[in-house]
Amino acid sequence: MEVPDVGLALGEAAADGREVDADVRQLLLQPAHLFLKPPSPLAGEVPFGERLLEADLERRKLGFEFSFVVHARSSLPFAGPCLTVRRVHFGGSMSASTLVYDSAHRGLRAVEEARDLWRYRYFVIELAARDIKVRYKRSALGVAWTMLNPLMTMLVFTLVFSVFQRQPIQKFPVYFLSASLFWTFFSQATSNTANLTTDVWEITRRIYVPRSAFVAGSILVGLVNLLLSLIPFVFVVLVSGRSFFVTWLFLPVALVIGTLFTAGVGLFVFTLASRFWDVRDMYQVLLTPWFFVTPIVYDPSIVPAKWRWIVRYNPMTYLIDLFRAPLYDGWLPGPNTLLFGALAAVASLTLGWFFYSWNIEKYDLGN
Amino acid sequence: MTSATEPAVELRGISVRYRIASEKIHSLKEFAIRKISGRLDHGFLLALQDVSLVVPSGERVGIIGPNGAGKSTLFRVIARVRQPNRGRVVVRGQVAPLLELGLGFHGELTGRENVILHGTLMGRSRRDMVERMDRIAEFAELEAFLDSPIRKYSTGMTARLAFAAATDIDPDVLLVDEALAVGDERFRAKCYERMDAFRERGKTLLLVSHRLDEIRNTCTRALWLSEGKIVRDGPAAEVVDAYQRWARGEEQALTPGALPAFLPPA
Repeated sequence: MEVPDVGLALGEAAADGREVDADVRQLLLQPAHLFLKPPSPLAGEVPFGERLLEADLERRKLGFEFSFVVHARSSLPFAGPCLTVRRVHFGGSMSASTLVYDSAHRGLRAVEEARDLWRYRYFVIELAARDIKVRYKRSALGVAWTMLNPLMTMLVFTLVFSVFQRQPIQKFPVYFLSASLFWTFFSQATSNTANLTTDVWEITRRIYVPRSAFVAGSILVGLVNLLLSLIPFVFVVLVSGRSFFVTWLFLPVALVIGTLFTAGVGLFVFTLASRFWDVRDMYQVLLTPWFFVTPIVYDPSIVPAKWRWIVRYNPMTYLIDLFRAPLYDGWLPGPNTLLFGALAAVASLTLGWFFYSWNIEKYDLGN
Repeated sequence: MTSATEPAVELRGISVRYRIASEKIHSLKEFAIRKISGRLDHGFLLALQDVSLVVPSGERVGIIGPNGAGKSTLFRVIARVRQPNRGRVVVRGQVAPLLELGLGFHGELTGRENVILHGTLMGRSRRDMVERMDRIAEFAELEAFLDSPIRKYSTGMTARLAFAAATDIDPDVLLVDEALAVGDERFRAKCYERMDAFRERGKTLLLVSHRLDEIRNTCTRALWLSEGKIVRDGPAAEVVDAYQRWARGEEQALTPGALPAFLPPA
C-alpha cells in the first residue's frame, strides 16, 4: 500500500493554505515513526513512539518559508502528559524541525532520557565509527591485533590447563574461546565506559549530548570487535578439528541477550565512575575474580559441592553458556540457561537505565 | 523560528551553584566514610542568583560583565549543558552554541569524517551533514583537503573547517562567545558576513563579549551581569554606556543589587 508522505502532505497543505486531507489525518493517529520515513522532513524528528496530535495549527508565511506546529503526544506508558511541540519548516532551507527544551522534568526521567538517546542515534553510530577507524588507522596491525589477542590468551590457558587439569576438556581451545568471546566483549565494553568519563565530561561541559550516547557507542565498538574475533575462532575450530554446528545460528539471539546485559552493567559503571574516580580501578579489581568464578577456563563439574552456589547464582554462568552451548557443544541452550540469561539481561538493563537516568545529572563531574 | 507569542528563551528564577572544587569528594571510599560519620557538608559558590530573563524571538542580546559574573554559566544553562539548581529554563527552537569550535574533532579522521561527526554531535543526521558537505567545504575553502586527515591541516585550516561546520546550520537561537571569528583578515570578514546573515534572517542571538563596541553594533539589547545577578537590562547603547562609566569608576554607587534589575514583563 502506498503510504502518503505525511510530512510533504502537511507541507503542501500549509503552502496552499488548505486543510489536510482525510487520509493523512487518519495516519496521524498511529505512532509517528511508523509512517514518517525519509525523505519526509519530519522523519526522525518525532521521538519513537510519539504520535502527532494536531498539525497545521498555525501557519505563517516567512519569506519563502512556511512553518506550522506539530503537537506530538507520547504513546509510551509512564511518559506523563508530555506534549512536544515542534515547528516544521517548508520551503527555504528546509531546516529540520526543532524541539523545545524545558528544564522542568515531566514524565518519567527514564523515558525522557531514552527519548534523548534516540534523537542522538546518529551520533552513537558516528562515535563508534570514529573509535573503530582511529583504532585501525593508527596501526597497520590494528585488525590483526584484535584477532591475535584472544588467540594469545587461549594459548596461555591451554598450556596451563593441559598441565594442571586432571580431566582434560575436549578441544580446550574451542571450549575456552566459545565462552571468552562474550567475556572479553563484556569486560572490555564495561570497563571502557568507566574510562570514558573524562572524555565525556570534556564534551558535555561544552555542549548538550545525552551521556548514554557514549555508553551506547562503547557497546557498539565492543560488538564490532566481538564479530571480528569470530574470525580467529573459526580458524581455531578448523585447526582443532571440531565441527561446525547448525546451532551456530543461535548466535544472534545470544548476542542480543548478552548485549542487553552488558549495556546495563556498562550504564551502572559509567554513572558511578562519572561521580567517583576510584570506581574504574575498583571495577577492574572486581573483574578478575568474576572471571574465575565463571566457568570459562574450567568445567563447572570440577567445582566442589560447597562452592557450587557461587557458580549457580552468577548470572555470567548462564550468559557464557548461551554462547558455549551452540558454538562448542552443538546444542541449543537449555530452558534454564535461556530463562536466567534473559532475566539477568532484562534486570541489568532496567536497573542500569534507571540508575543512570536518576543520577547522571547530579553525578556528572562538572556539577 | 518561533512565533511572536512565544519567546525564544525564557529563564525563570534561575539559580546555579557550584560545589567548591577543593571540598568535592571524588572517591567512593571517602564518600562512604564521610557518609557514615555524617560529615558530608559542602561549600558552594552561587554562580547565578535568581536570574529571570525573557528573550523574544529575533532579539539580539549582548551580555557583559566582569570576569566571574556568571556569563558563561548563563550560556551553559541555556545550552542545556548545566541544569539549574532552581528555576526553570525553556528554550524554543534549535540552539547552536558557537562556544567551542571543532568539538569532537579527531586528528586521525579526514575533514569530511570530522564534519559528519561534529554534525551528529549537534544532534543532526548523517544524511543532513552529507548534503551540507559541499557548502561547508566551499565556505572553508578546503575542497581539495576534505579527504586528508586533519592532523595534516594547519591550525587555521582546522579553525576554518570548524567554523564552517558549526555555522552551516539553521538554528533558531545562536549562542556566540567572543573571539569566534577565525583565520586571516579575509576569512574573518566572511565569518562576520555569515553572522550578519543570521541577523538578517531574524535569528535570536546571544553574544558574550568584552568588546563593547561589538555589543553596541550588533545587539539590540544588553544585559550587565555581576556576581550572578542582572545589574542592568536595557537597550544595548544605554547599558554599555553605564557599564563603561562604572568601569572607569564614575559610577561607584552602581554595585550589584544597588539598582533593581529590570525585568521584562513575564
